[in-house]
Amino acid sequence: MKTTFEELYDKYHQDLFQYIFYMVKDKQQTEDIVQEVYIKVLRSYQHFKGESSEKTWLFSIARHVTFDYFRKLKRQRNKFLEFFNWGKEGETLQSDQQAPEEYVMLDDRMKQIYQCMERCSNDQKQVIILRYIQDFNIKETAEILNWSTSKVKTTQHRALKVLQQCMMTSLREEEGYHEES
Amino acid sequence: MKNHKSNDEHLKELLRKLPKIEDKRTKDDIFQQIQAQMKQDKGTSRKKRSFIWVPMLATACAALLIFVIIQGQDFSRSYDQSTSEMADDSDVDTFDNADGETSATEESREAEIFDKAEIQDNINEEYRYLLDMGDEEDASYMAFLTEQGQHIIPITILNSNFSYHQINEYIDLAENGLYDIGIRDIQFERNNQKIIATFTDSFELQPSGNNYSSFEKVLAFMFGPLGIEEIQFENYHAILDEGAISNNLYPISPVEQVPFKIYQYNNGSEWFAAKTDGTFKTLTRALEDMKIAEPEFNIQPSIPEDTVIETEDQTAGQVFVSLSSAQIGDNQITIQMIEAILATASTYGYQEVMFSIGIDQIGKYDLSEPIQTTDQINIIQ
Repeated sequence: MKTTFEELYDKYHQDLFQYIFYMVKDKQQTEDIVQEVYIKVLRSYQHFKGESSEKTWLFSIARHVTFDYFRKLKRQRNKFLEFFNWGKEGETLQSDQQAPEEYVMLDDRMKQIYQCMERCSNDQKQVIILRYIQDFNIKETAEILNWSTSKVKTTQHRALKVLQQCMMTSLREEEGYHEES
Repeated sequence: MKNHKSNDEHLKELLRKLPKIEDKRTKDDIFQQIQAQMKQDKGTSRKKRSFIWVPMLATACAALLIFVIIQGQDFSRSYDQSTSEMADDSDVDTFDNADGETSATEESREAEIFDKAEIQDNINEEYRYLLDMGDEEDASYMAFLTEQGQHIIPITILNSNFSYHQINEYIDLAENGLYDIGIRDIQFERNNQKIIATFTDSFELQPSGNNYSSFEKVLAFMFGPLGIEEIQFENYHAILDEGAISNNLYPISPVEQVPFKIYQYNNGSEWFAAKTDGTFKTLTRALEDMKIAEPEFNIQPSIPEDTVIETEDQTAGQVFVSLSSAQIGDNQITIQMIEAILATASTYGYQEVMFSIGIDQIGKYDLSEPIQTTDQINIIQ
C-alpha cells in the first residue's frame, strides 16, 4: 500500500492539493479532503481497470469527495439556518475559510480574481481550475468530470463570463471608492 | 482611463498566474495520517457490525420460521416446482443451443460493428470538404458569378503553378452554372504586393454600376487572400470609369462580413456562395441569414433552418458558436455548416471558432478544440 501511495504522491500530489484547495479555499479542509481521497483511492486501487488514465481516475475521485464535502457543508448550513431561522444573511455562510499566506502576497488584481471565483457555481469553478490552474485540456477535463466536451466548453464559457462581470463590478466599485475619497 | 484589458484572454492569464498552493506536510506525515484514519475506520466498522449482529440474527430466525411454515402448507406448489425443474432440465439443452447461437450472434454482432465502423470510415472519407487550412502560398484564387449574378463563388486552386487561363482544366464553368466576368481576358502579373493587370481585346464587360460592383468583389476574392492591396491597370477600359480610380491604380477592398451559403446548380455540385450585395454587421446576423434558402437563385441554407444559434466573442480572434438542431449529426450537412461558419467567421476577422454542437469530432474536424478559420474556400486540387 505504501508503494502505491508513494507513487501516486510523487506523480500527482501537488496537482491534487491545488485542485481541492481552489475548490474549497481552505488549507485545513483541503488536507482532510486530500487524505480522504487517498483512502478511497488506496482501497479501490486494485479495481482500477485502466479504462481512463490514472490521473483522470484520481481527479474524478477527488471531485466526488470534494462534492461530498460541499453537500455536508450545505446540510450543516441548512440545519443552522433552520435553528436560527435566518434568511438571506445565513445563505452567505461559508466554511471557516482562512486566506492562505500565498493569497496575502497577491496584488489587488489577483486578489480580485481569487475572490471572483466564488461567484462561479461549483461546476463552473472546477472547470476553471482544471482548465487554467491545472492546465488540463478540454478532453481531459471532460474525462475527469465525466461530461461531454461541449458541456465543458459551455460551462467554461459561462464561467469566464461570470468572472468577467465580477471583475468589472470590482473595478467599478474600486473607481467609485477612489472618486469619493 | 486605465487600460484594464477586461477580456477573456486577460482573465485566463490571471487565472494561470494564481499562486501554487503547497501542501507543507511531508509524504510520510500524510501516509501516517492515512494509515491512522484507515485503522480508525476499520475499528468503527467492526463496532458497528457487532451492534447490528443481534437484529440481523433475529431477522434470519424470523425468515427461517416463515419458510418452514410455507413449505409445510403449499403442496401443490412443490408439484409445480418439480415440473418446473424438468422444464429447467430441458432448458439446459436449450441453453446449450442458445450458447452456440449466442456465440454465433456475438460473431455476427462483431461483424456488424466492424462493418459499421468500416462504413463510418468510408463516410468520413466520402465527406466533401470545401475548405483547406494549408499553406496559402501554394494556393491560387479565382472567383465567378452565379448564373443570375446574385452571388459570387470564390475558388481556391491548390496548385502553386496554376495560371488563370488554365481554369478550364480544373472546372467546367458552364456545367457548374458559373460565369466568368472576364477574368480570363485580363493578364495579371504579380510584383510583390502589387498586381499589374492588362485588359486584352476580348474583355467585354459592359460598364455599369452593377457590373463594376461585381468586378470589384471578384477581384477582392481573387487577390485579398494573397495580401495584395492594389492593382495597377496598364491600359484603359470603360469599366474603370464606374469607380473612383485615379491613375488606373485600383485599391483592393477586403472581403468583409460575408455570409456563405450553398450554391447548387443542375449538375449537383455544391459550392460556397457569397452574396454580391449586402453585408451583415455582426456574425450572429450573418449566421441567421445562412439559415435562409434562396431557391430562385439555386441557393440553399448552409445552416439547417431549425438551428438555434448563440455566439460570443471569446478573445479578439476567437468566437464561440453554439448550435443546436435536430439535423446536426455525423453527416455532410454538419460538415457544410461547420465549414460555412469557418469561412464566414474569417470575413469577420476571427482566426478561430470554438464550436459547441454536441459532437466532438466530425470527419477531419476535432470540435473539442478551436478550429482555425480560412479564406481558402471551394478548393480544387
